[in-house]
Amino acid sequence: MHIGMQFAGFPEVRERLREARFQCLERLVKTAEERQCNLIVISGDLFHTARPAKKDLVRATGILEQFRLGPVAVLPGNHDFLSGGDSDLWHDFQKTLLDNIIILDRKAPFNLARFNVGAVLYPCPCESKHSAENAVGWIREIPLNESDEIRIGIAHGSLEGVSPDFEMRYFPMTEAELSGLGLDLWLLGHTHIRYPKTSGPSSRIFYPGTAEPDGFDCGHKGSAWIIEIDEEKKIKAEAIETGKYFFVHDNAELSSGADVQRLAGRYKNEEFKNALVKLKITGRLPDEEFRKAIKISASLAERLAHLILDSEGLSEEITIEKINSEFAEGSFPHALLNHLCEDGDSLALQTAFEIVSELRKK
Amino acid sequence: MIIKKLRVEHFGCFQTPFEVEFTKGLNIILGPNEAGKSTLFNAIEKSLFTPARLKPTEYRTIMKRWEPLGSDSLSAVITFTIKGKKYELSKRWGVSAQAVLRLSDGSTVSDDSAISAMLSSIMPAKPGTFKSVLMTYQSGLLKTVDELKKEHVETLHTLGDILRAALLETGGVSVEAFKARIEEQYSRYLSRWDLRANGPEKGRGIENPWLKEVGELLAVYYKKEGFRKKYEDALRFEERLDGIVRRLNECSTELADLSGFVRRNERTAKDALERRSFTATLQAGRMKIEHMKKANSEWPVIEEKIKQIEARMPAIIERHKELTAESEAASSARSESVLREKHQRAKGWNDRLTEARNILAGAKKITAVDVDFLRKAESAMERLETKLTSVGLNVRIKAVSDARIEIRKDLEGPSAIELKAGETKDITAGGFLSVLHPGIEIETTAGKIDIKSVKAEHERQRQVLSDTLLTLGVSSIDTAATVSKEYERLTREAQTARTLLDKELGSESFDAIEMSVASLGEPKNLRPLEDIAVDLANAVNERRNLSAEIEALKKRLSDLTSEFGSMDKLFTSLGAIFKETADVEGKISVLTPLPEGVDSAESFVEAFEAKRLELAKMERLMSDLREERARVEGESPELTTEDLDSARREAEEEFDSIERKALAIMKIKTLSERLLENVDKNIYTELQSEIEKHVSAITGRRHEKVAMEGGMPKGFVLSDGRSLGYESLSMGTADALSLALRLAMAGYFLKEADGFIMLDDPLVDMDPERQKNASEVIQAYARNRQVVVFTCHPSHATALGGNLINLPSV
Repeated sequence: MHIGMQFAGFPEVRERLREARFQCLERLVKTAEERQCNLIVISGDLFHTARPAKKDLVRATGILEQFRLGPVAVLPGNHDFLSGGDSDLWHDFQKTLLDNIIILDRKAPFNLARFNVGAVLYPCPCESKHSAENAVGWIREIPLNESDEIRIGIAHGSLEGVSPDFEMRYFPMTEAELSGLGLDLWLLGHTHIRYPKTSGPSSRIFYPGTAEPDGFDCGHKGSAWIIEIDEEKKIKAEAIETGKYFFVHDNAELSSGADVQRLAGRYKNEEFKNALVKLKITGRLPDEEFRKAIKISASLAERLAHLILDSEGLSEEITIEKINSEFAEGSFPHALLNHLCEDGDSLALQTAFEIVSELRKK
Repeated sequence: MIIKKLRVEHFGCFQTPFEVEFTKGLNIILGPNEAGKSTLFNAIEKSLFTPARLKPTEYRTIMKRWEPLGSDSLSAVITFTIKGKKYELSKRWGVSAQAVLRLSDGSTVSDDSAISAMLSSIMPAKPGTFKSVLMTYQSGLLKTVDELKKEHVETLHTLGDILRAALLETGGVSVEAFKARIEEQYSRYLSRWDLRANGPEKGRGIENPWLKEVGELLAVYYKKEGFRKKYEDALRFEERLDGIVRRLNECSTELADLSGFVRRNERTAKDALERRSFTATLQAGRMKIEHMKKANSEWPVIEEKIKQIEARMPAIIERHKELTAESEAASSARSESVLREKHQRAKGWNDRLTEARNILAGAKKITAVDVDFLRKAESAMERLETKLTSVGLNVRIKAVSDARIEIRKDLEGPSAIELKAGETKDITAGGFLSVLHPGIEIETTAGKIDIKSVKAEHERQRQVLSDTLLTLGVSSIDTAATVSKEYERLTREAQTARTLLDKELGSESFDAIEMSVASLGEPKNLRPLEDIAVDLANAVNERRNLSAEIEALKKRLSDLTSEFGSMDKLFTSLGAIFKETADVEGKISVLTPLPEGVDSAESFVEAFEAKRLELAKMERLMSDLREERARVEGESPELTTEDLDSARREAEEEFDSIERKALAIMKIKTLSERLLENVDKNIYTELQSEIEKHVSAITGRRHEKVAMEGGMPKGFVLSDGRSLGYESLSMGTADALSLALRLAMAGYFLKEADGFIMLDDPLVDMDPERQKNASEVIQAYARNRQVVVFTCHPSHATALGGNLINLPSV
């Protein structure tokens, strides 16, 4: 959830994005109740830091306590890691909790029998922000309970081949390692992209992805898994959309009036009111179309939560013919623009053309 | 801009209102000196370009000189048209200063600044251009050039622009404005940016940033670097915090283990402490039991042993006494025996001494001195004989007749030799030979030997020897020596016997010893003293050992008694101790057993205490780490590394974008400078040809080539190629060049626009032919523009023609 994230790069929508985390948590609890879930697992990074604001902490616990169908298990992730024995965060969190919230702060099996859930959790909490060693090793050291209870591993960190962790700093794990520990199911946190993309009968390792997207590296609308496990431990998993705001990397290549028209038609759908869009416009357009495109692209911001427009690659189509038609041959602007046109540096040509045009108007 | 009318009131020499009307084309203001030509020129210029409201100092400097006597103000009204629209500008300077520009639509502008701004926007040239080129009064070529260079640089730039425009046909784009814009853009993007180093100027990075004149590229660079630095700081912070937290968690686990151990084993440790104490008590009890058991079994044995020893003791004492007496007797017998032996030895020596003395008394006494004396006498004789016989004499005696001769040789006595006649006899002697023949005695001696003395001495020595032998009663020296030796041997034997006897006797006398021995009875028959001594020593030892043993036994018995009182009491105590140890064993049996594998309560307590110490240490460490964590968390950056990394990437994208833009500006700047550099080489060529056209016309083609320096002429180029500087020109020729320059420049400034140019007596220093030529040039120039010429020469006015304005004499 990354509650308390600052969104320094988006000062205009910062407050809305911060608020969205709480709203998302509320939706998750509501959906879990609607879908009759008997356990909610937050597999790390409920909070963005190990020292969240007190009011954020109280508000988050208040939301989680609203779940009445079973326990909510919260794992300290690498952002809200256990900061040492009586960690301030989890210590304070614990004080505010009702019985239905479990903090998975010990590397020891946690039997959910008292909640009438036939499962044992194997928590692997993070004890620092970074670690080259994951937290699942303790499971290898203990004998596994051979009863019929469902054994669920809950860990936080990167998974080889799934998460980008080139420097191996985020509790790196491998599928083989997790599979080798003999549990029935692994619920992981950290990677902001859902894994697997679609669940199959053999899926045993799940990343929900971030529930409320928090940056342009989240190319989805927020997701969570609803996982059903039957008595034979067969798993059925359904991915649900949970986010409000979403981030879009968009490109528009404009080379004609039709393209400009299409640009004008973008983001008209209501859902884009919650979209943060990084739009890169490229292409070369004739004078009139170019001006039109500039005007349209600026107006797109009104349809979006936030627009980061990069139209540097869009330029007026300045051809030799255009230069010849507008400037007397041998004149300074003609010579300058002609050189730049031949040089093929469209940005320099565009800039020079804009300056010359502006001065000519005067 | 065409001046239509000028009206002055209280301006310079004009005390009363005076009005002049101008036409488009050529206007000649003719008047003698001091008629007011200069006043009119200044009235036009001040009306157009000098604000009405001046500061007192400005008024004094600029306007005071035009103030008529007795007046505290001056005013002028100028009427002109621009692009067909009529304007009337009236100004009053001094008291009640005011300015009013009436526009063609009847509206008015009365603010100096607004009027100035409006005029600047509608007039065909800038004020500087008017002042320096279009409205010059009494200025020759040199002054014109100097003024342009020094005071009207802007005009020169504008001229350059105009010339460039003419050359480049900009079609409305001012190259100067373009250059200014590019400079402005360059500065906006690249100020303080070192393109070559691709970084901040002078390497001033984020640690020492530029604060002023920071271009956009540098600003975003600082922004990017700022995020990078913050990211690195945040990463360091997070890693540091990670380290502390990791240690805290490790300590926490260890602490839990330790406190668990302490908690689990606290009771066991307490019991172990008691066990240690009970065990010690038990061990002590057991030792005491052993001790008492030993005493109990020892006690009767000691008593019995004492009895036995005490029973043996009298016999041993008796035996000791007997042996002591025997030893004393044996010792006494030993002394007698020694005396007897001493007497025997002394007697032997005494007997030998007596015998030696007896022999010595009967022996011939020849001492070694005597023998020595004999040897010396014999030796003296031998030396004398040697002396006499050692030379050698040989004598041959030949008998002439039978003869008997007596021979004496050396020390020998006389001998006789019988010789027959003719017989020869060789006689050999030592040092003396005497031949005696009757009647003749021949003595032969060798050398200088005193044969008589030698012989006498020899005889004396022989006599001494003989007498001594006789006295001693021996026949020879050897016998004397033998007798002497025997005598000495006997003497030594007697002496030896005496010495040994003395030694044996010591201080006693032989008789006293003999008497003592005589007083002893017969020797007693006793055991050897050594055997008795051995038996006695054994007896002493045995007695001593038994005494010591009995003493030790009694001491031990005394100890036992003092420790236990009596054997009965000992027995009772033993029973009590047995009970005590049984009680302790009972207590031990109910204590918590020691963990498996633990050898002793001692080692367990030791291990437990070590763990408890470790626990306390760990708690302190935890406390320290918590404090450190709190301290570090207090330095927590506002944003996380992920936030900052994202912000940094955004800033990098922004930097890349601005860098591309900046490089585009740079490229445009470089390219435009290169293009304009080429252009600037040629822009004044046309001006030059325009000047040359006018100069050629005015000078009747005498001068056709002008030397230029930038945009200004510096003289003529003569037909032989040499340059003639304007400082070397005659006044008339310089005026011709000045007029040509002014007309050429005015042409560029005014171009096709309406405009005027004012000239002050342009023909004054020219010869008639040039005056005529110049007049034609001015007339031609005035065909499309307004030209106002001031002159005091009626002939010039006539030559020029046009609208003649005669000024009355003042």
